[in-house]
Amino acid sequence: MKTNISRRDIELLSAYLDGQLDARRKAKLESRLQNETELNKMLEELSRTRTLLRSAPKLKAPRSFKLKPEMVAKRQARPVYPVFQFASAMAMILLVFVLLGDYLVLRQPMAASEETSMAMQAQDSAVEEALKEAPDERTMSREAGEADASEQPNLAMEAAPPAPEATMTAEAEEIPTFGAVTPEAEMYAVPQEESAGTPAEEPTELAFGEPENLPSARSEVQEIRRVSLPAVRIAEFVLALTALASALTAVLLKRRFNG
Amino acid sequence: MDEVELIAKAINGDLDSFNCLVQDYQDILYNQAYRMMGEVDAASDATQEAFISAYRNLKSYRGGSFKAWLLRIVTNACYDELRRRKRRPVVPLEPIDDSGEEVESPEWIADPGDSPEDAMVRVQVGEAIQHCLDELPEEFRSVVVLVDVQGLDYAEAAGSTGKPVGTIKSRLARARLRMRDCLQGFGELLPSSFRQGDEG
Repeated sequence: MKTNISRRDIELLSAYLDGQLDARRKAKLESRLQNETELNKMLEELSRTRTLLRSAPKLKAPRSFKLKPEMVAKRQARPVYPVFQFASAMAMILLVFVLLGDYLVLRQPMAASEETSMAMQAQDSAVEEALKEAPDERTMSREAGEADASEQPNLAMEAAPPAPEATMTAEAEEIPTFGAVTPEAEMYAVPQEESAGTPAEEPTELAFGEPENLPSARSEVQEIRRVSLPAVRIAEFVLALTALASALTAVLLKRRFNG
Repeated sequence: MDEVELIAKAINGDLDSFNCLVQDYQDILYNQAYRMMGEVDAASDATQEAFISAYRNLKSYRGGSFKAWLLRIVTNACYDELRRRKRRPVVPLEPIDDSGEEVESPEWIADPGDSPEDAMVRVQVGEAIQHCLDELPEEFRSVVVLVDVQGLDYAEAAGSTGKPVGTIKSRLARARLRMRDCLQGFGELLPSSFRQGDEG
């Protein structure tokens, strides 16, 4: 049956019936009850419902519920060893996964990095060979430069003031010769135009400098290995120990349970 | 021996003392269980489980209303069974009483002053009330049975349900409103005093 009375008012009326309203709320509700017919009617209906419920017949227990000793005897402890058997099996499974992961994830990148190291060694040897060759060329170009420079000073010597050798040397050093690279510079110089966008698979184009990305990739892999390996070893050790201890405990408990 | 002494002895493991308490409270607990479950067999099981649980957990009784403490245990037992039945509906068998006879309907405690007609009306009213209680949600049903059928006050009902008094007030009001709506559908079966409102 629909009612226009709010749920809040229903709760107030119900609490009022049970004497659960404080003095202020009770006075306010009683004032409303004098003026609101519908509210009054709802109060009467709730009161009749409550009276009917209170008059509901009491049921007699169909039998005695007194306890017998066997009802409340302490229950035999359930065997615990299956838990340890399960724990041992789970630890073994996890150990297998960790070992697989160790092999697949960590050792494969190690192999890849070893290949990279080998490639880099080959590259280094190529660089060394290039260095062996290049100094001859540079020496030749330097000599050529010095020879050119020396001709002028020779001419100038005839009419120039003394110390032509210092002049020769200074001019030879100042005049850049194409392809001439100092031994120090060729060790550290990175030709910017050439290295930009140059893939690592073509190390010959970067013979005079190491590629930028290769050292960082190798160091990243080394870092991963450095960080992960000890953790993996610890995990493997713990899992193996757990599996062994759980299996041993399960065997001992089972023997004891079976008497 | 008064209740406090019986409880103290029972806490120390005296099963006979606890059975004295069982005898005092089994009707109350059974009434609560029957009103919650709606059938004799399920109510008997819940009542028996409640007493076993109460004996095993007597050390957790911290004083106060022992009746409210027992009612909380049986109410929780009924909740558990009702929820279990929602997951796995069951068809109950006919219950057996102490003499081995099937119990087809609950046995009402007879009022010595009742005439046969009054007794029949009482049975019909009881069945009508039970029908409407069965229609209520569990949380409303437990509150209206505790307060209006068992006679607990709001504080005791709060202790028996583990809910705050404000929640008891709210649920009780809504339960009474629904019971009013349901019981009005029984019309002639109910006492005239209940039907008076419809005629007015």
